[in-house]
Amino acid sequence: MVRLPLTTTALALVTLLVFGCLASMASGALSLPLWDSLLAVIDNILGSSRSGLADYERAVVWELRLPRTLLAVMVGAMLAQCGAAMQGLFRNPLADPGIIGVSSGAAVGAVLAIYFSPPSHSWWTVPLSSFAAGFACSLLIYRLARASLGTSVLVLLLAGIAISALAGSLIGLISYVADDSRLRDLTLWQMGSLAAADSTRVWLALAVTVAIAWRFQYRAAALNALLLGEAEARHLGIHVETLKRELILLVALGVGLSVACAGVIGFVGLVVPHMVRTLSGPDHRSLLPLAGLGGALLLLLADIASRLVVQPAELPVGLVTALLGAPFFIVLLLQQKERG
Amino acid sequence: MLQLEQVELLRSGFSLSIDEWAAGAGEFHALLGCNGAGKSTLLRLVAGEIPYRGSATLHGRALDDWNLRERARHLAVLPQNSQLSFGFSAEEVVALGATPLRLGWREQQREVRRVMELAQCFNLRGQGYPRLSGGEKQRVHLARCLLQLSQAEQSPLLLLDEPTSAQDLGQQHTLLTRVRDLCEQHSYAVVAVLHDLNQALRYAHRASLLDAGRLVGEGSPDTLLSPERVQVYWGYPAERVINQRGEAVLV
Repeated sequence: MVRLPLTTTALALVTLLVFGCLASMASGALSLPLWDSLLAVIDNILGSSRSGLADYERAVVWELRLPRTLLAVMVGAMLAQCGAAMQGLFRNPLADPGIIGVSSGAAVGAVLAIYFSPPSHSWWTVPLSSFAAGFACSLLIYRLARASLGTSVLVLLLAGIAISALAGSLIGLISYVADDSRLRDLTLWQMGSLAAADSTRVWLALAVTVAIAWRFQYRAAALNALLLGEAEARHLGIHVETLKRELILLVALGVGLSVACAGVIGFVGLVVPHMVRTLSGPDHRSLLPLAGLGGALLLLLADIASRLVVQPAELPVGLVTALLGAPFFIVLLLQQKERG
Repeated sequence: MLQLEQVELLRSGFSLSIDEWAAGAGEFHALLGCNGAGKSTLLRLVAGEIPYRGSATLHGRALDDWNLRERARHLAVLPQNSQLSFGFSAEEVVALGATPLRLGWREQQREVRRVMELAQCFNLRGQGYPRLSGGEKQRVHLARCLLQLSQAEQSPLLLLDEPTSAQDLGQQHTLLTRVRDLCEQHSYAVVAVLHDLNQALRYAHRASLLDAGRLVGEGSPDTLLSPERVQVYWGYPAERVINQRGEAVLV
């Protein structure tokens, strides 16, 4: 088994992430020098004037690109960590946070908010509604899947599929009756975009990212034991029901909030944990933090690509990740089939 | 050390009722009986997987009263097969046995090595677990159980559910000899569901015979497994032969 040493992987990811952040602040319809965009941020914090940028250029960096970069980092990290945790919980490397129905539930919440709220609704209506709906949806699925002797993974998956189908049809129904301007809103939002980044979302995302990363790390050893099977984990002294409940709540929180901040962004939670596992092994104590770094990097790069491909317009970043992720998912499926 | 009194199953559909049954430290105890007799159910009950009524105690304390982590340090279960599909190395699978323990990293490395040598699988340490053969996986899991029980303050209890089902003759012999050594040298208590009656005769110190959820006999395998009983409970016309080493064998 060939694996990269943990420190090498972590250092490489951190370095790439730093460069990714710089690139993200410098690139877009208005292209700026890397170094100057970093200086612009420092200027704004210290009140100095080291960068050679014009005022409007500094404003672009500080007010648009910095929040967007930070949001990409945190949403990517949350999605990838939630993906890794779900795959551990389901003991299946193909599981994705979307599977337990949080994504589709959150999407229904957002669509309902967009359709029913007055045109002058507050900025938090859509995020809050999508987050609440996603949370409620995953709780419902968990309830459905709860048998008398613990949670059945198979039932959980099937319930997730059923709820996703229901959510899909509800969204379709609302899109069908929505007027043109709202329809555009709905479609764009469903495809995911980081363009709405502002300081409120960044602070909210930061708080949740730190909280769930801390809880996941605390539970990493127990997640390793859970990979042996639920009965075996119990024999190893783990309160399996408590563990599963906590994991599902954390994933609902992470995915619900990232959907609320940036719309539906698929496949980050599938691709990143899988690549990290191939590079440095399946131990959750290292997998979870490395997946966080990797997810941040992947979403950051996808967001840069989404801004550069069709300048001066933007692609929704969810489209970019889906374009990258869907073929990857098919390859994974074929590999699983070969292994039997 | 493991004692069951007036134990009944709470679940409907299958009945298991044991008036009195015990397994002691230093003893390899075989659970025998035809399919559906309740052997695995009894094992799973002791492992804490199914709810029951009555008294089941380990070292004088009811099984349900143990703190889960503390119980895990005294009671381990060797699974028949494992669903682990992620690419752990054999060594990492063994290290999972440290979950209920408090070990420093260095100490854990040393302990992992010790139990892997004890279970004769140290040569597999760097290999990917999913690619191991059934017998090799079984040895890795035995090492994991040994690690899990390595900090027990009192004699540990090891439960085995048809431990040799995926193994060839040589592997079966190695595993069961190793398990018997654990009883004799490290005062483990071992309770194993066995299908092969000759394994019980050769390796077990004591045996219990179950039929339709009830205990119908207990004693040394030699006296318990008479050809008459085998005829009654398995419907098999067995004959008892003494081999060249002077041991009884059923044919």
